[in-house]
Amino acid sequence: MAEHGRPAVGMPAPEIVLPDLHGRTWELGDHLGRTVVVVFHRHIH
Amino acid sequence: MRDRLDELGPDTEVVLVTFTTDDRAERYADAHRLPFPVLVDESRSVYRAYGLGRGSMARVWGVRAARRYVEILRRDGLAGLRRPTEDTLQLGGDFVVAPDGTIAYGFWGAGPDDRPTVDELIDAVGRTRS
Repeated sequence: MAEHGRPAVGMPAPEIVLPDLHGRTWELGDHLGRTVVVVFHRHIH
Repeated sequence: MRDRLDELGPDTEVVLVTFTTDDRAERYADAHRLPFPVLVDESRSVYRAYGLGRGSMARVWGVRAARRYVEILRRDGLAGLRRPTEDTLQLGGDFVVAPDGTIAYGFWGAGPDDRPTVDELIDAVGRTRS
């Protein structure tokens, strides 16, 4: 971990296991071998 | 980002994480025709894992936000204002995860409009291949 609880660049990315809008579970670990861009949205108006 | 997905190159995926409800996320994804998965993190546990906290009132509701609301008021009057139903202080961020599962790039937003450019993200993706 880097400052303020942030994961550091070069370190393993924290796992993501979340539902998508179709009710499927999406796991970051299933996408090893590919580059993944993760965009964290702010609130939706 | 949506309009430049082809510039990310092969073997690259994009996911959007939101903390809103399924219904609102679905409406948003439909309205913006998002071609990538939208993941729902209502508890914000993944936001916390990536070090994305809440901004200060002063930073989030600062001069830029005030200007935007003045513009809306001028254009649409009071009818244009909608009461926020979500945590407006939650900050966003952008990350590129390399094929080996490590973080290749991280951007922690400090305010509402603080995001990396699409060019920065495309460059960061390109570096995961070099």
